[in-house]
Amino acid sequence: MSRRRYERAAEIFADVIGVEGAERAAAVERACAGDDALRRAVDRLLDSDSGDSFLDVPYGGAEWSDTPEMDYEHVVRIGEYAIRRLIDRGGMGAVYLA
Amino acid sequence: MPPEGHDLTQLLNLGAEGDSAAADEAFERVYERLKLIAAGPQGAASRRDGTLHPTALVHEAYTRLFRGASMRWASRAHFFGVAAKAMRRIAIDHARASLAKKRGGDWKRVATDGVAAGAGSDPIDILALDDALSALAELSPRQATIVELRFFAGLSVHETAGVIGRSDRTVELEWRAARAWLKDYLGDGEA
Repeated sequence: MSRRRYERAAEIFADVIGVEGAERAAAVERACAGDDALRRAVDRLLDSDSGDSFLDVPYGGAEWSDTPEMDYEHVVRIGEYAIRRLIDRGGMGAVYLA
Repeated sequence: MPPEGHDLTQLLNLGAEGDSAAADEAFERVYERLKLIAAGPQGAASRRDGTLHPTALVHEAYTRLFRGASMRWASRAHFFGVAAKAMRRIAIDHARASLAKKRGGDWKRVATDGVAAGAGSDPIDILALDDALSALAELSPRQATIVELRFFAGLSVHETAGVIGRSDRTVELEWRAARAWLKDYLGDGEA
């Protein structure tokens, strides 16, 4: 499959997964505009969308990250303390290294 | 920031600008660091139930290398991109080693000790996924990157969006398409 066809198929897939049944079929039909190869590519993605996949759990059986990693390096000053980074978080809130 | 982190930041930035020697060097350093943490006693912090948690491992490497230094957003993004690729390599090393062990071939102590298999890391699945991911990268490099970040580094949708510079919504949709494509490619039901 060409890169262009795959990217188009993925776009159509993204556009139609919100709708079901006849509405979805009509949307796919419209988007593919008679391009059978594109249509097959979209149908294959849609057919494989349901059910379990081992990708549903990250490698090693871990959980998805939910740490605010992307934010915590910004040093924030509170009074005389510079908040350097998050140490851990739990039920009562988050603990930061100051 | 420790000197090691400072050098790495430069390598990551040069690599992202297209310097392939710098990119390779950055990859090797991150890969070695991840292996070291996984194998060492500190690796215990990354494991629960005897299973390696890539998220914890990657974040631990990040914290140690850069030690709370303020880093440019782009450099952090480069680090996570490289770390996800390094985790993919570690997963493959581990899968190959455990298959060799199962076959009863000459058993070698491999540098992936400490990377225990867990759910979602069946060696056959991992090797098949590696091939499939290379095929996907030909069709959509971005989707392949998203799978690396999500599956091998355990990043959330939001974190992945930050690394690739796209919206959460885009990552959700691309991830779902990639998941479907990989499932189809790997043989429906078995994937």
